[in-house]
Amino acid sequence: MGTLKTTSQTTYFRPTQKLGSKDKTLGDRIVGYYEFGKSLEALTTLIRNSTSEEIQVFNEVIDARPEFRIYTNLARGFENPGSTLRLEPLHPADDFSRSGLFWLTSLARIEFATTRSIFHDAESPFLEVAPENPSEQVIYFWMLMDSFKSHYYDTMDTQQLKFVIAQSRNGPDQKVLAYIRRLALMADMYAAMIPAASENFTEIQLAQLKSMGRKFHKKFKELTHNVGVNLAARNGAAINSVTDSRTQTFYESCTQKCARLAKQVGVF
Amino acid sequence: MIEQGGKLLQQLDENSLKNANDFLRKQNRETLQSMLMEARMDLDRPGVTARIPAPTNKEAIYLALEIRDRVDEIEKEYQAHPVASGEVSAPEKYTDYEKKFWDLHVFRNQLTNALRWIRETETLLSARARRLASLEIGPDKSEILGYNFGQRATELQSLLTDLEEREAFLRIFRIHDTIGLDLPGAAEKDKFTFAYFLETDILFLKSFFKRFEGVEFQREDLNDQSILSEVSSDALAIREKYSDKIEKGQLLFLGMHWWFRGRYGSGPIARGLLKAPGAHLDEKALFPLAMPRVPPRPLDPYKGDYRIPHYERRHHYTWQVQQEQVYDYQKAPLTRLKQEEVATPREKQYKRFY
Repeated sequence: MGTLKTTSQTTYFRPTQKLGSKDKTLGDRIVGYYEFGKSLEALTTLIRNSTSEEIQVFNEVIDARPEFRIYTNLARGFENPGSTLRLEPLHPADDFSRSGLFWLTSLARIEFATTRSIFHDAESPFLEVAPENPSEQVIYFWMLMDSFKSHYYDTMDTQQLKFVIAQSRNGPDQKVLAYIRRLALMADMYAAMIPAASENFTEIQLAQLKSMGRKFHKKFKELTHNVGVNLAARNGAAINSVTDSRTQTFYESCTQKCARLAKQVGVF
Repeated sequence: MIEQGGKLLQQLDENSLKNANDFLRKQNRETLQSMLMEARMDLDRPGVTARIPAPTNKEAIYLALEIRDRVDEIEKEYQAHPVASGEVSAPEKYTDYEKKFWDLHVFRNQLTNALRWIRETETLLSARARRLASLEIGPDKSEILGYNFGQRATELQSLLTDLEEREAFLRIFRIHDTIGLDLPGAAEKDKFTFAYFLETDILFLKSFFKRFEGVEFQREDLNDQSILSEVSSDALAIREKYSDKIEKGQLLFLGMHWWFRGRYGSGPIARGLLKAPGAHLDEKALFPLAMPRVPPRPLDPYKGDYRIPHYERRHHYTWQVQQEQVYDYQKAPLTRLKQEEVATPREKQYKRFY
């Protein structure tokens, strides 16, 4: 993958920062949010102030500790063998385990941004935390693609999603809200990959990514639409244990993300 | 469990309790008092659990017995461990220092917890002494009322002091060894590591002597604090020469430390995904997590019976967190793929030590 422009430095690693209207406290309490944030505070400073030779040395330090090894390409078990977006092994014995500084930071960035996406109303959480270092960007977007695909293959053609969409016609219960949140998370992941997509993918790959985006958008739109219709019909009545105002805000945020996704799918 | 089980235990006489436990055993379950104690100990997470209901009088007896036995086990394990036995000496290999410091760290936390339990139990029993004395619980259990918790606390405190002294000595040994290493000729990765170790050891000793200022150490050598200035002056030149490596080493190891906690840590709620209510209000309360006692070796999620780390990616699961629970827990892709082959041996991977 090539470079990708980011608008700001990574300054989102404090749990006390201003948060949006969703359940801020729940987001701060997610295990990993605070920890990966603190980790990134130290490691991004380190990367910014180190030479590539020094980073190579850090990789050796990390590589000597097995607990920091990461298994990657987790979507491969679900991916069609003919997929153009399939990540191929580096060599025949490659088990997709990786280690090194950029693998640590990439995993941390994605886990951190997930909480920002789900609970903190962040508009572009995965771009906010995208790395500045071009070599790290390659790994980050590689991992982000894998993350998106894992969620995509786990939702799109499943009975579970069909059931959830059917259920959403009756009203946004807890399960519907959880799933719409998952699709909003996927939309954020997808959105972060798009700006540099034309640099990083072949035309055939772009076509597949676009096709996936359209299919995903269709489901996301249907789910969002059903929730919106129900919210309007209920006219402010409490829905399960989720208060109306929170559901309304949540719905609006999902609608925006869905509209952004539509635009992005058409942009290709 | 604690609320209902405590009331039930209080109401049952010895015979009824025996019958209830026989019934539970037939269901392959633990005894009522064991389940109660397990639930109570599981919730014993300072900074994590907001409030645990006070035990009923009868439960207090069982709790005291359980704590006495658990503390005995912790002490026995510590005393039998090589890190606690014999005179403190430098390990044969420089790389073995880290393992020793890790073991000391784990035992320090366990002994600190044990000391707290003993003190809390002593307070609990003494506050209810009259009511407990009138309970009909049989001589095998009532002997706990005569147990000297105060004496036990003193013994544990002494063990903790011994542990602190052992660590101080080991730090001094490592500083000497680090100074004696051929730093200029070392591999680059070792330079970062050695420089970082040197700095952390010096900072530890400074903090150690400050914490124990005016205290008479059990090991006389430590009472002569010139040991610190001697070590510091030897290390000063190296610290200056390698200041850049120290600074970067600190960032690297600090980042790795937090990453390790994020990757392997487990909270008390929502299958370990969530910290306790109120944790967000105080940065100190954000810290406590259940952590693996031994640094884990990650497993390929596509192979084997269970996974390390437990969550191959947290974002495969966090979208399900709603209110205070994981709503209608859906197995993530990899778990679902393998669910038929997974016999789930449920090996207990985590042990509290924070």
